[in-house]
Amino acid sequence: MDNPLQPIWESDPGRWDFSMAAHLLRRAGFGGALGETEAAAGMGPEKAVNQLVRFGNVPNPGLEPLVFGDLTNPIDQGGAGGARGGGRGGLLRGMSAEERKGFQQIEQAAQRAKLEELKLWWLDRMVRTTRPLEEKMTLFWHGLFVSSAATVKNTYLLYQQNELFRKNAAGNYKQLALEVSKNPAMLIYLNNNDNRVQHPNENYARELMELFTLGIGNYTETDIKESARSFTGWTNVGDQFVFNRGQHDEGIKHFLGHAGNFTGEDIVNIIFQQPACAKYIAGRLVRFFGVDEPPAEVVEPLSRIVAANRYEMTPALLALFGSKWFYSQEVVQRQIKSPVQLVVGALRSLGVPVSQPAAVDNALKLMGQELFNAPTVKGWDGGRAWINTSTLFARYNLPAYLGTGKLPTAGKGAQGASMDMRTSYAEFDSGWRPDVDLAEGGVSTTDGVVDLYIKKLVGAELDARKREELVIFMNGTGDTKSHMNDPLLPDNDRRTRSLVHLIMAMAEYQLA
Amino acid sequence: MDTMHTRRTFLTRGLTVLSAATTMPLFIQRTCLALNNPHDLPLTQTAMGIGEQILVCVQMSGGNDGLSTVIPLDNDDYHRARPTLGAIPNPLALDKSGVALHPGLAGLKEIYDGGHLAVIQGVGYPNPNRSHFRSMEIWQTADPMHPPKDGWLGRYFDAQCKGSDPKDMPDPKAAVNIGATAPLALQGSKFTAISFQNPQSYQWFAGNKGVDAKMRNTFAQVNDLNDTGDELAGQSSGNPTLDFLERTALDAQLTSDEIRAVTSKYHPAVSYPNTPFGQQLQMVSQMIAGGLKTRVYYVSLGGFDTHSNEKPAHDRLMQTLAAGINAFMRDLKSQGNDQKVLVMTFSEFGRRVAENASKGTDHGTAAPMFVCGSMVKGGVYGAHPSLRPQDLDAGDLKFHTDFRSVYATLLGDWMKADSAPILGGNFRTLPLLA
Repeated sequence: MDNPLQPIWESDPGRWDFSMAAHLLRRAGFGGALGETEAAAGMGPEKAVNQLVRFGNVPNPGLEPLVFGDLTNPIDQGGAGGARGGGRGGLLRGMSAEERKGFQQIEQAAQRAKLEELKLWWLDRMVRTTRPLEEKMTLFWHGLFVSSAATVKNTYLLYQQNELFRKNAAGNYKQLALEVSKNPAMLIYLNNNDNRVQHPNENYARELMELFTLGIGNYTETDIKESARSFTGWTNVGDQFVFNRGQHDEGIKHFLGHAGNFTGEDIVNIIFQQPACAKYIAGRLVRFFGVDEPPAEVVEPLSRIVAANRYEMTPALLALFGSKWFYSQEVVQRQIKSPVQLVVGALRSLGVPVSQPAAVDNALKLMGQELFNAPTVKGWDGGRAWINTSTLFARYNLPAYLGTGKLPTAGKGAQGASMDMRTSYAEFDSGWRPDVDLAEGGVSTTDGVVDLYIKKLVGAELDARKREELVIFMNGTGDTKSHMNDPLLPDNDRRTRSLVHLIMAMAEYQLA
Repeated sequence: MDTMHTRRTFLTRGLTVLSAATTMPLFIQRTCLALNNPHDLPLTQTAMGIGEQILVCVQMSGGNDGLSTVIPLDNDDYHRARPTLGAIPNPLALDKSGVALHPGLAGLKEIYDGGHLAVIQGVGYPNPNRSHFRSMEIWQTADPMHPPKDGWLGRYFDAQCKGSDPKDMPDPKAAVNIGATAPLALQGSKFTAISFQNPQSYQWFAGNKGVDAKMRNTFAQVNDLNDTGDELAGQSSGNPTLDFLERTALDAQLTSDEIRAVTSKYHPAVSYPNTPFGQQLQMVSQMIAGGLKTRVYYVSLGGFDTHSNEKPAHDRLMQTLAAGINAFMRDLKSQGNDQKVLVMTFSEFGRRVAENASKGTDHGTAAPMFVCGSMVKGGVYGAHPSLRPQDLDAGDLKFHTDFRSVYATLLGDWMKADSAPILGGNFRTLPLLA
């Protein structure tokens, strides 16, 4: 029987080229710089896939933890409530109403500022990491086990959760689900810190099954009520998980065909005995890394790999990225980049850091993916749901945001200030030097410049007519073979920047 | 005639070129909603389709607590189930109906007192689903039985175009969503609505002075935004994702200039609350005032998932909802457009009758809906669902009015469409319209 997960190096020995390597790096990461893609193309599929997935061995220098200062200080950790608890309550009690209001305003400002810092910290990691799949899987878990800043209101706890995802990036799904169930940001976000024996709060129990592990249809409303009882008393004090025995329901619970005085651990164990669980995560992986509508003939064998490896993610990722299906026509250039991937990929492919954090954050909001603030507990639907007339303009304007730092403000009413986007983007992301790209690429003709940036940015061949239009734009004369002036004149430098904007404002550039 | 003009040119020039049928661009072919009679030029100046009626959908996301919205009066079961949340001072009684509006809904009470707010009680559907996402899908698709495919309003627009040619689609501007995420409700099998958050950023910016015009031209060329011959033939790239992106870019480019022009033209006579929701409604009012040929506007207000410490959040939401709608209705009146517009509110479900330990409520079932507008016959429709413990279904209210009855009323009596094929059956209509 045909196995879509058969490794490409077995099904098609010798089939491997630059565009396949570019595809792998876009999906398993955020798209590579030209040099990275060429290196992956040179090492063959088996080695390229292994190096990406077994990233634990890859050194990742220069990436530091985010610094929070004094964790007992609500201002330092960016949030109300105190990650290390305690002090704040007493502090507030000693204040007059006016002082309290002032304090809370300072706290909120600190929270906003620290959240911006956290977003920038993560984006910067994604741009600079040498382990792209580690960050891509962190983003996968971030969109699966959702907690949002709007509810958690504490930046340190979101950072703590983000590091949990990173530590388990390609680790064990069951272990991660258990740790997430005890994670303070999650306990707050889905109200399990309010789940008490007298009146169970069902929020976490429901989403754990519906969105995190099994999918709808694999449990009943009774299972939700009974598992909510089992999670009673699971709460947090600051950044620590606490089991509050006095608030735990010690009665017998009936859950998915089992009965006993269950705790949250038992619930997670029983959930992960369900065949639906491996199928659920396999489906989510195929949707995230493959196609919008995962075909059963791919999800089935992948779920068997997940189950056989007791929910270890590494074997499943190796199988998926190595599979012949992954390089088939139904997968390649059929996925729409997430906004985060679009932004990070743009910066990685130009080899520049995030230099306009406010503009980038705003652009991500307009494109519908604000980190640490998923719209609902379901996360982001992804796929075609990324695209509508609103988000598409935001995407096609991305180079303007990155380049000018001038931004149309999101959420402003119709009377919002008009903006001037027409300033030159000569300062396009400090550090990007088209002349250096051209020199490195040994390029001196207009069609050469166009081909260089198609290769860098799209990583695949472009429709001949569209390529022609870009060449016409570059030479400005209608002669597609005219040479560029060498050394570059200021106008050619600007033209090259405009060319990059045009390529990024094409449908082809939206495809992962 | 110049065959290389853009579709946008057509939009601004109107239909004077229609006689040249052989060079008719795709855009004109697909705007059947705008073209009941293509040779009747004045039609371009009237609203599209059958009438001028406009529907504004207000989505309250997260599951609004109906029991703290339309409050049962003198009801011991209510206070037993809600010892803290049930204490709502100064509820706004609705005549002798036995129910009252939340005090934050003063803006809606004013519309009720004017005779133009319908309060429809006990709305739901059989075998209620308590998942936010599934239940929201059910409300947006009007189909509790099948996996989601298209939305009820999307099917309405599909039904306006009977052509067999898949390119024969309504003008995307026929439905406008304010926000970054297009709702399933507006998605048809053929029809796709447009979305934007802010008219000012709803455009493509060509960055460099001096090459703007040239960049714009190349932008149009590489995105197939011009009416070239191959576009007319509707050529596919062979990659459905790529085709989808190019189709969306075309819709965006075509509507961008018009929407920005229309929204900058009208400055409302009333002042809107300074909330994102109020701003959304203000944009809708600007588009209506500007005469945009749009039949359905979609706005949303989130934050109703009040599992914990419900009262302050819900109080604020009620205030936001009512103040926004109240300003919108007054604005329409001053424009003289009030008789053209009807507003409907909905949420994916109500909440559990009994409050939980966190002074909040968990996911429930039936809840009230509001429908208002100058053509609405105000009043309280249907009884409040019984709160007696023996009448509850696993702690939740039993519905008595299917939400599809409300949809059928809006589609049939307001939009003048045949609702049965759109909703997949005949649903009893309610006498909501004067």
